Amino acid sequence: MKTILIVDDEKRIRSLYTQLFSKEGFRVIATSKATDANEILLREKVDIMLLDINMPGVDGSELHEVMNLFHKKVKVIVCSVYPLEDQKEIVEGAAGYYDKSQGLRELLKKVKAVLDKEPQAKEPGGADSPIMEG
Amino acid sequence: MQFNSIRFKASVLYSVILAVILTVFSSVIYFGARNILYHDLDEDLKIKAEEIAGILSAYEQIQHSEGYPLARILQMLSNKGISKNQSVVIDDLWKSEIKTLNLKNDYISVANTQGHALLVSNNFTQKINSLFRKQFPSFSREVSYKSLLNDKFKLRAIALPVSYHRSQLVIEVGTPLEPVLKILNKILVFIIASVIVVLVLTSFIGSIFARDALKPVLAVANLADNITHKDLTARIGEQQVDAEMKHLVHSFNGMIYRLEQSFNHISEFSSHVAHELKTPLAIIKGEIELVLEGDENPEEYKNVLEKCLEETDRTIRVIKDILLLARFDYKPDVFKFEKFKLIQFLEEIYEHSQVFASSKNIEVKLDAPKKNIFVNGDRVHLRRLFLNLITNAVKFTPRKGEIGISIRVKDSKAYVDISDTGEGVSSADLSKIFNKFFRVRKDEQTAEPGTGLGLSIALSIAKAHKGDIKVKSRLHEGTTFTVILPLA
Repeated sequence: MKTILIVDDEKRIRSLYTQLFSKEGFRVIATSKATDANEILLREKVDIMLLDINMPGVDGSELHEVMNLFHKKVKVIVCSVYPLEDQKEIVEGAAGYYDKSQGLRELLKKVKAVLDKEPQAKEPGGADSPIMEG
Repeated sequence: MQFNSIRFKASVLYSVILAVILTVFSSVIYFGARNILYHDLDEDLKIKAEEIAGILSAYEQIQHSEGYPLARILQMLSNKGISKNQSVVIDDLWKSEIKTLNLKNDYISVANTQGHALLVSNNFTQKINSLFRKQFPSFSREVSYKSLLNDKFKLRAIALPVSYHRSQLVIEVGTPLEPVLKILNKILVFIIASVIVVLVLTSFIGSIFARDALKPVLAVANLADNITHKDLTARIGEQQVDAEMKHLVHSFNGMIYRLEQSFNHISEFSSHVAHELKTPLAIIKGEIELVLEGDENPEEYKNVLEKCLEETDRTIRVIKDILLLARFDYKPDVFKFEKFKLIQFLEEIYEHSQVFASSKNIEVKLDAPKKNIFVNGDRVHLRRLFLNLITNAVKFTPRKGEIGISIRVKDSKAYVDISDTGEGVSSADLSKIFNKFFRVRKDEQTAEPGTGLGLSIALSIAKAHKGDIKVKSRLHEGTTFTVILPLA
């Protein structure tokens, strides 16, 4: 089972993506703050992260820099309402970029494509319930 | 070169001014030369006339007969041969005189005081006679000079009064003007030619100067042509241009700078707006997609539809606030100013805010002086301003907290403090707090999450009243917004 971390300050987005990925058989952790995300990454084994850019406090691009230094193995899909070209400028070198208005199917496709690109060792463990924080 | 161009006008003006100066200058030279030549001629004529008068008086002494000597003199003067039977010696003397005086081409007459020619030189025709009589009609005691001009003859003449045999006579000597006129014509031709050459040259040079002087204008125009919404960064170099042009270039650059600023502002704002509207739409889309994928029960459908409705409301609120801000910023006439009592007005706000603060058990306190303070403002919009600030305060103040409204007057301005005992704002966030769409945090617990435009709207209203809003905050202690309004 893959673990997905959703970092978004928008409650409804978190709940929407949690529902989507739970249905797809992911273990989902969601948080509203970049600082909390860092703590989760230290604690939990995360395979892939959906990262919003524009958040109060520490924003997505700052968190991504921290990821590049300390959590290189975690794949990051930048996930925002900005057009894709703008996202690529704001956060460089992410595994994927997703425009929130593209729809859930596109998001699922992107997440799977990123995970399939570099297959990782399967995690042991059962179907945990989603962990909601923040 | 176009006729309505500055370059054309400048070179024409330049040439006209020069033409006037040259005309005055040439006239002075021409008439000066003319005077000198005429003066010389007159001197010459006077010498001749006086010599003839001398001859007459010599004859008077030698010959005592009237008429003859005069006729003889004139005969001699006109070089028509001399009879040898009388006064040979004197005649010889006159012959040499004629040569030295060079009288061969001159017209000589001796007239009486009534203006009748008594004697004339042989070259004195009827036409010349009438010319003389016209110009010297009556006897004068003074030496007088005249230019005798008609189509055929151009003469300069002197009339010299003399006495002869106790009667008064006038010796008239006329000499052709042609040599003098020839010189004067030459001078005139030369002057006109040089004036034309100078004018053509200067208008040419003037046009080059004008073109040079106007080069920066063309540079400004060329640059202006290249400025589009895609690139407003272009500026004209202010170093190379002349002092007079610097002002224009500076103003132009200033205008481009202001355009660039407002263009950046607008494009930044519209991109913000797009993001703000995209989020609720993305949520609506996602919720619909999700519910369509599964086989949900009616309760779940209802739940999704409610979420969609809320997100639609949020979209509408954002759009309403954006329109409001646009109206405040670009249509100042939306404000209807009237004079009203500020304390009374704030008391109403205070009562209203007590209602919505009570839901969180927050106490609202009012501290207002017991006097009349008048403000000139739009009550509807000022109400929006204060309610925005108080709603914010309620939002960020924990349960059982406190909100204070206090009024001070200083330097003919009213200072209204809205303070809370909320969590406060960090200094980094405080600097951005009036930015459009800036939120300290998402207020997800409240039924109506903010649009991030509330404080921008409040500030716009304050500025429209020639006032301001200041903010002070300490983390975990609270925030104070101070609304400053000028008194009426």
